[in-house]
Formats: sequence, structure tokens, C-alpha cells
Amino acid sequence: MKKLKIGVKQNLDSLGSLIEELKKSSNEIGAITIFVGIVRGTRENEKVIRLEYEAHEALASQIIEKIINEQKTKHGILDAAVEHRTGSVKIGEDVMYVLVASKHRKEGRLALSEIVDRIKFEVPIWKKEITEKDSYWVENA
Amino acid sequence: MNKNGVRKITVKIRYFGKLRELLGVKDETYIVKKGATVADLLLDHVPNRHSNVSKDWKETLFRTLKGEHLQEKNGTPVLKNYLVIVNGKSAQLKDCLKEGDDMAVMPPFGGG
Repeated sequence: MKKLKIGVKQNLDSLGSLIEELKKSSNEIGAITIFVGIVRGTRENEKVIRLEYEAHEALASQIIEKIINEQKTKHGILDAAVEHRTGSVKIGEDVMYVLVASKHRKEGRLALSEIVDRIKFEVPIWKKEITEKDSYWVENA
Repeated sequence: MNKNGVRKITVKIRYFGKLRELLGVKDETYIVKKGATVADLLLDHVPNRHSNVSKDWKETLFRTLKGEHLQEKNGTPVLKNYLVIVNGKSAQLKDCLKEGDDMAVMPPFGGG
């Protein structure tokens, strides 16, 4: 079985390097579908200064691996890579990459959407929004 | 076993997000009686050590109604949507802890 590329860490690898790594995993790949999560500069009407992330890194990686493996079975994707940042992240910076490699784009898009949604609800990562006026622990509900 | 003949175990607890912030520590160690449960740690040992925030701790973690803690029929309090993990696996409040257990108390997730 190919090794999955998963990281919950301070800095993301470049998207280009993740794409190249995924392309190596199979010569059947016909599409790589990508989600880039970016820190938004507003919360309702408040200006956001930065986000602070923390994670149970070992458990987070295990759960992401399980999610990807389930998507392989469900949608027949060939491979995937997920990276999520920890620590302080400024407005406009990338915070999460999810890349799905598949034979065709359709199953890639379906799997990508489900992986992103499940990461928000199932993976032990926490986010604090620091705004101009206050700070909030965000709970994905 | 201590000098009074009571068997003791050592467990580690890790806190994340708002709980880490509330207690002001990322992790700590407790020496408790053999047979202690997850509930014993969360309802007694942790709030006793952190008495300055014990009320906030309990209100953050457990469901309340008009200021009183809700309880199951067997008297166990009811956790809010917080997860307790012991050695990487989901744990229940009634579960007994063992020597060397690594426990994590997790608020609702907020990744992405």
C-alpha cells in the first residue's frame, strides 16, 4: 500500500511538492483535485487579526488516514494528501491543503468535499480567532 | 503502594484548546487510588488541584440545568460534547484508569 502524505504541523509543504509526490503514487492518476483553506480576514462584522491552531497531532494524523482510506473504498480514489497547520496563522495565509488523486475528476470532487467536511468535525484540531475586539475558540457545529 | 497500604497509580492528562487555556497547563500528572475512574479525575482530582477555576471547569465540561449538574440514572454526570481519550481510544466516564494511562480531554473540534 502506498504511504499517505499527511501532516499536522507548523508549516505546510508547497502545493507543487505535494502534487509531485501524489503523482508518483500511481500511473493511473488522471486528475488531482485540490482544496486550499485560507485564513479569512473577517468574522461577521469584526476584523480578524490572526488564527491560532493547536492539535493532538498524532491522533489527528491517524484519523485523517482513516478518513482517506474510507474515501478510497467509498469513491475509488487512488490516493490523497492532507496537510493542516498548527500555531499562529495570519490573514490570507494558507492553513490547510487537501489533494485527492483519482482516475477521473468526478470521484475526486466527491471525495475532496467529504474529506474537507470530515476534517472539520472529526479531527482533533482547535482554532482560536483573535479579532480586533476579542478572541474566540471556534467550534465547528 | 503507599505507606498506608493503598495502591496508587500514575496517570497523565493532556488538555487542549479552551481547557488548556482555562487551567494554564498543557499536561500534568496525577497519582490516584487504583480503581479511580475517568469521572473521579474530571470531577474531583482536576478541580481540586485547580480550585481557582474549578467552577468554570465543571460548567465547561458537564451539562447543567438551573445551576445543577445533570446526572444519568446511575448518578454519573453528563459530559457536554467533549471527548475523553485514553491511550488513543475514546473513553467513558465510568472507565477505570490503569497505571501509566495517557488521557486527553478534548473540546469540540475547530479545524479547517
